[in-house]
Amino acid sequence: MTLASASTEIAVPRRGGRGARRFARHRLALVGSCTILFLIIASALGPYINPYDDLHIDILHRFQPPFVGLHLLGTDQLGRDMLARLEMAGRISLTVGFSAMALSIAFGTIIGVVAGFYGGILGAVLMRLVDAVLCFPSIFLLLALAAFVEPTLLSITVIIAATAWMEVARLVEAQIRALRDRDFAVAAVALGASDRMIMFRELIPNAIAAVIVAATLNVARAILLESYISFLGYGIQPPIPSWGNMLNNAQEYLVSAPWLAIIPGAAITLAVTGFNFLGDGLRDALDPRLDVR
Amino acid sequence: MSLYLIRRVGQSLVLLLLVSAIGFALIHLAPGGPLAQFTLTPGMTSADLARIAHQMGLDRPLPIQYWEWFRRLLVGDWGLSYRDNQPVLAVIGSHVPATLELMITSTLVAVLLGTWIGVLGALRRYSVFDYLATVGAMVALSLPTFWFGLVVIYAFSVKLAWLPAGGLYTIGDGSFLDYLHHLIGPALVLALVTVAIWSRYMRSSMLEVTNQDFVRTAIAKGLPRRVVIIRHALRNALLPMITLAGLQLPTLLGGALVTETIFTWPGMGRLFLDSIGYRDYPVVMGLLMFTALLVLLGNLAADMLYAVYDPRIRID
Amino acid sequence: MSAVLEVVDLSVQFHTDAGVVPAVNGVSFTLDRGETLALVGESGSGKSVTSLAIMRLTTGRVRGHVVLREADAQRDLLSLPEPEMREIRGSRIAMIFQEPATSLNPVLTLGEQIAEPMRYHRNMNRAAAWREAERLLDLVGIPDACRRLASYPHQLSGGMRQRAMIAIALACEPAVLIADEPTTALDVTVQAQILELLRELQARTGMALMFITHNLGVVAEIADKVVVMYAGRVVEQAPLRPLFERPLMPYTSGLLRSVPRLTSVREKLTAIPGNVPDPAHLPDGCSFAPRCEHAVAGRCDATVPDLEAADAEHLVRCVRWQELVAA
Repeated sequence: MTLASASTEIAVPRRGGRGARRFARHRLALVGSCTILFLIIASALGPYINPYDDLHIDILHRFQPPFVGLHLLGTDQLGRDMLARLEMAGRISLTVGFSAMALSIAFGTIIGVVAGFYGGILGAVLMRLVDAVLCFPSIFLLLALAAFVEPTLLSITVIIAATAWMEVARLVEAQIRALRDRDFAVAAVALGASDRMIMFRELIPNAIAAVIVAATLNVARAILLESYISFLGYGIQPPIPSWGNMLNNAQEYLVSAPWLAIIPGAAITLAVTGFNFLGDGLRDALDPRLDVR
Repeated sequence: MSLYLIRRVGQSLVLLLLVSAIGFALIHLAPGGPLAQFTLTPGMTSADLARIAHQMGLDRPLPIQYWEWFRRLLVGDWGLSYRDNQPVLAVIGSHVPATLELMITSTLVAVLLGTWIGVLGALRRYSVFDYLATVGAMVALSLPTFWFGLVVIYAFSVKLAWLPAGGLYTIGDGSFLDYLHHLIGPALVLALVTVAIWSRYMRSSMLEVTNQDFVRTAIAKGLPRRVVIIRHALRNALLPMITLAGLQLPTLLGGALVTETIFTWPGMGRLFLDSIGYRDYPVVMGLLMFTALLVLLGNLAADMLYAVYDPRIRID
Repeated sequence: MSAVLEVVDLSVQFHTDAGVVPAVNGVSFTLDRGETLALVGESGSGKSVTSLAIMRLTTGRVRGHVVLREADAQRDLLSLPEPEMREIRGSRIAMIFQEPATSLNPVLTLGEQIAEPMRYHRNMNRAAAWREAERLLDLVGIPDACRRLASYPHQLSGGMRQRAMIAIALACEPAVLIADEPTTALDVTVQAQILELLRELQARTGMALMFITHNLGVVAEIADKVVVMYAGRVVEQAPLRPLFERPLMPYTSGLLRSVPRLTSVREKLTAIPGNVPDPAHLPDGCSFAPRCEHAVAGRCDATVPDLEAADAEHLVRCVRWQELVAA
């Protein structure tokens, strides 16, 4: 395709171009959703199917590589079945991911609605506060907070949410503000009440769509952050397994038993990629602007 | 332009105040608060603690404490490290160069690579290259950086022995070349996320620009394709990327922390982690403030660069 | 007067998800040296696409011939390899567009943008190109040309920007200038100035001007010859006076009638009823028939009428033109 054609796409889309893109995005989002579904089901139901228990220590069969022998994904330094551990850890990591997302969405939405609705000084101050918190790199903030609190599942979830609510607040505030401005503009032009309802009906779904996309991407980020701090030792503490702290153990055996590190990391990547694909696909599907292009 | 800059500096000052307020709040949230180091000293009575508290001014109203703390912050008195009683700012300062070198190197590589991938993806939209680049970028963004680092170490240091497994220098060899050899691994790992983000934004920026009228004019002038792409399209497409660079700073710093941990690179990130391990709160808080300030200044610098680069802002 | 640009049976098709869209269908006309040809039509008539196709700037599939005749040679632009076409663009044929606000690169100075075609087509060095750019700015009526060279597009008014675009177009002394609705986005007074400028420049350089517009008032001021397009086809073609005084195609007379006149205050504004047809779904037969007050079922909607010659220079595409003249 020449640059000429890239710049003179006036009104008419190229043959198959738009269709190809839609399908591709669609397919990625589909792959993402399937991956997530698979991981959730595997984590939830896997332990019931798996003959091995994640807590069962078997020194005789430790450091078994994957795909050789009876353990599908091998065993770790204590002889525990990797697949079983992965499934149990999956429960934890996914739960923390979803819960942190829920908390951050809730808190961010409240802040965003308050700031957007009341506007004025309150709104400005709240939004500047959001900007200020965003100046701190998430991981630094997260680690500092993790060092201050007792690392339980709840506290870890809360502090992850504490570093993730800001973007949501910004998003929601912008949407509410647009709604408010439009509302005044509409009143000024003296449209009928039915038209205002239509505007409401347009803008609220818009806002919800944006939040849904943000939520999906938020889960991805939450899972990633949990794995970071668990890996560093400040997150989920053993014996509770999480994909992150499985990697913490694996570091010292990197040379002798690399699969101990590769497998949990692959699981994290799979989960995060799945949510990212899905979020991206949702964004394409729900963003009204893209339809116009 | 001056109006724009004044406004931006004003905003930054407001943010500075808010950031410092948050920092102050965090200090008092830390277990034991500012008295933490003393509570652990054996033989310390509550009377002694009260006396020290009074000396440190901890019984005064909070706003006054904040003001005192902020004033000390401005003059460089960030407290003393619990570990070795060195001034916090000095401790941080000694670790900054390593992080900066890592960040700058990886950003340079990432920007060059990301720009190339993004531009090519935009020019060859929907091609195999573009599809792979998009999917690749999304997977790269989903990789845990520390895991990727471990994989790189395993592949290139353990298996292939092409790269050292970490650290700044090999013992006995302090040459510049050796330093570069050690820099490659962490720089590339840190660059991964930046390349992914940069290439995606570059692609959409480029697509937006190539659809604009002035690109059509440039083609209608019969200019060589390369000139149209670089002088007309790219130069405009890079404008919003300047702002993006500023916004990416927190992510970059976070990534640096993780990378430094994996590769035992002696930078700020490493220091942060170590200080948390030692419960060295002055250094931890100091680093939190320091990184926030870096982000603040970085964004201000990016906006100033934008103002200089875009003639629509530079000139009235 | 010899022909400098000859468009023969030009067709442009776009392949979309909805199917093949014929935006331009069998368009032919000739542009003579020093002549001004006005390409007239409503939005969707295909006039802009025609001009883009001549410059090979369109994404659609182009068929036909576009012959550029110059002193030394004649070339069919549509069959040239791209590098050769690039040499012609901006130097032998130049184009100016409708929106001067967005048609100039915001981060380059005026001088740089005017000098560009000269540096690449005429191999001039920076200093020489800069001097020439100053002369051009002067020529197009921009005051304080020397200082203006260093200014940026956002510092200029709409009229000045369009003048700058004209300066860019003239940089390599083209044989043909294509102007795609250059005054539509400007104020009326500025519009008049730009038209005056174009007339002046044309007289001075002898270049041919192809002016695309939907505004018949502008046509009356500037054109020597008029080509009327509707739904991708030429429906009437004539020199200026014969077209305005004796329009043969009902569409043309409809267009002329719908121009509001100051003299007849009491007349209602007569618009042509209906809308321009969707190029993807053209009606059978004459494309204008559904809106035409003279349409006759069975004749007008059966097959597409041929372009007939009413006299040596007047062409019309209507099966009933003779009857309508007699009436």
